[in-house]
Amino acid sequence: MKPGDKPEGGKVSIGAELIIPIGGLLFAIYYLSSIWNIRWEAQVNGFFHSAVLLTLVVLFLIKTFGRVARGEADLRLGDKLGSKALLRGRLGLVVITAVFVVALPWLGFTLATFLFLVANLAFLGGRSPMQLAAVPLGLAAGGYVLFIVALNARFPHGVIEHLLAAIF
Amino acid sequence: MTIELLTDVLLTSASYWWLILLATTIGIIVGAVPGFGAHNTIIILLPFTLAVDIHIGLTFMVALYVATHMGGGIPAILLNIPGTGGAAATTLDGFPMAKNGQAQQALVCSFMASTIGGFVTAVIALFTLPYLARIAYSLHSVEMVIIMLFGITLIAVIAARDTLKGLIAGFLGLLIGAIGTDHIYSTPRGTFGFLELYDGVPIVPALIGLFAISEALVMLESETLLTEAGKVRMLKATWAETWEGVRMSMARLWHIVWTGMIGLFIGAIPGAGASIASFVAYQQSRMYSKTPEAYGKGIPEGVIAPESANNGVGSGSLIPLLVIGIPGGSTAAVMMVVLHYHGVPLGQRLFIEDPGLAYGVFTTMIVSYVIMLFTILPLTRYLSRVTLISTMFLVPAIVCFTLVGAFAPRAYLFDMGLAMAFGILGFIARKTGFHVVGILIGVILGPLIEQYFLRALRISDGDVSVFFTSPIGNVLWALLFASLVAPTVLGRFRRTGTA
Repeated sequence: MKPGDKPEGGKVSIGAELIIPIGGLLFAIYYLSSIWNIRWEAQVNGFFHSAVLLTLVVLFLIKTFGRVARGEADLRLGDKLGSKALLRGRLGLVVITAVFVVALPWLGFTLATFLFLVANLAFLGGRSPMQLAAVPLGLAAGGYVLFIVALNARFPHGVIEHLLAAIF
Repeated sequence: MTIELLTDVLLTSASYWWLILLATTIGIIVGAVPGFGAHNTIIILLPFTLAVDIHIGLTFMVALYVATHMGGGIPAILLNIPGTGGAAATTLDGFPMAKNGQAQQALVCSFMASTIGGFVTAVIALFTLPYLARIAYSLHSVEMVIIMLFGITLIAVIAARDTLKGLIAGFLGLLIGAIGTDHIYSTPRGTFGFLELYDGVPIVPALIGLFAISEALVMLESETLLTEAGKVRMLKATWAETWEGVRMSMARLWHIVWTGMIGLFIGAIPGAGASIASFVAYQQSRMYSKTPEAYGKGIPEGVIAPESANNGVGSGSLIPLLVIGIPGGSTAAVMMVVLHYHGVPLGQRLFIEDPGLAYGVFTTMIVSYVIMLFTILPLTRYLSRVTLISTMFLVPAIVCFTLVGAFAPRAYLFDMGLAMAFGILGFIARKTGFHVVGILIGVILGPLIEQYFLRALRISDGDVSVFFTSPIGNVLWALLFASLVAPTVLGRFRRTGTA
């Protein structure tokens, strides 16, 4: 039993376990609505998968609410997804990553990677200048050599890539 | 095939050792980077393979192809992030072994299983080419649909502790895989209005999100990947652990061979692929084990079975390409383009006009496996040190480099956002017991199952009973049903036996 799974009263909090089935249910309904008025050849596969998924979700919901009715569980989220502090950390990581994705076309792969790594290391508790500079620099340089030089991947080029291309 | 021809092609392959060494090195690296599989690396390197002699080009492609199968297992074991879909099953026991401080042994088991499994299946393929190719003729759309549903069911039973949750994950994946325009009328379905999803959900961002991003979000919970005992063990690790891994593998030699054979047979079926083969091998390994309860907690057989099968697929998937001109997978399809460009005929004519080229594919595999074993085995001690790195450094590096991997195949920023969305889905799935492997395999098989499903229905004029008319199909249905009920029945049987 993970910490926090069993709050006062001895009940297990299983609300978090409903996120995927309910999400699946909503997605199946949306998918069915998107194929409702089209030719059967385009519908049939979606109908089959949606029908099976909806059946499985209904079975899961019956099982879950049965546990709740028997008093074994409640529908609170609990801390199955992590404590509030951890969730804040994860949210921070997601926000920094979103900024990285948006900034990548303007900054180019190497500079964006360097800045992303610096920001993340600082956010995750890195304090020494060595950690904050040398590690991101090494990784960004390694990424440049592997992806841009060796694999010639189609990553956005920015000031660093143009500069290095002009020099070499 | 005569002895003279066999000797000749084997010596020719061996004479290209320098090229094979280069290709396998690239293959292991790109196989270990999620998003850079064999087929897109061969696409990137098309100017080379198209420019050189076809024997050199094919040797390079085949060596690179087999090496990516081996490389995919490295991040699966060390970071719980499979480099390719075929290595997804390796995470089930590989990562627990790494967490327990047995990363070195797990890596050696993976390399030995890949090498021996790949070697043995390449030799078998060499001598049984025409017979194995018949598998592709016997399996039609109906059987393919059932095989894929069988794959999803197996994953539900194996990967998730709760079969119902596993099935929900699998069918959610299949429905996500059904996003995109249909094959006949190009009508968009379930795309949320995004043009980028009209071609379907790209597999690489799904793989990266479900495994890499979600794992990075989980990693934030601890300072290192290792358990306390695992850390102590890893800090004391020497070359002795490498040898222990070799001994572990050699003690399970027969296990490597028969799970590799599963990969070879499934690989010979066009479209089935390494993702299904590795799970079937894992399930079979667990089913016949005396200690099935140890699977998922870090057992060498749990690494050996999927890795051997994964490499068996490498040999199997090239058989339909060479014998009947149907590519067995995406990499084989890219190879077919190169062969067509060079004017190489496929099918019977290839074996009459240039048998050296046809059989050379398998002798190149044999030489590649020998070279890879000697180059990568000494590196396991150093590779395993990745598990000692603090998550403070690992998390940003994983997120950054895998996200750019999501961008690479199509060059859409949208795919990076998609990987993030899959990452959040994967994180919730991991935390609530809906295994991410089921979702991923569903996404991979979604478009394929639709093709076969539709083909079967069109042939039968929309009559769904067609799925119950084939003898092979009915046997597969029975196996599918058995795989659903077997764990419960066997569990009760064992409990009765021990009571």
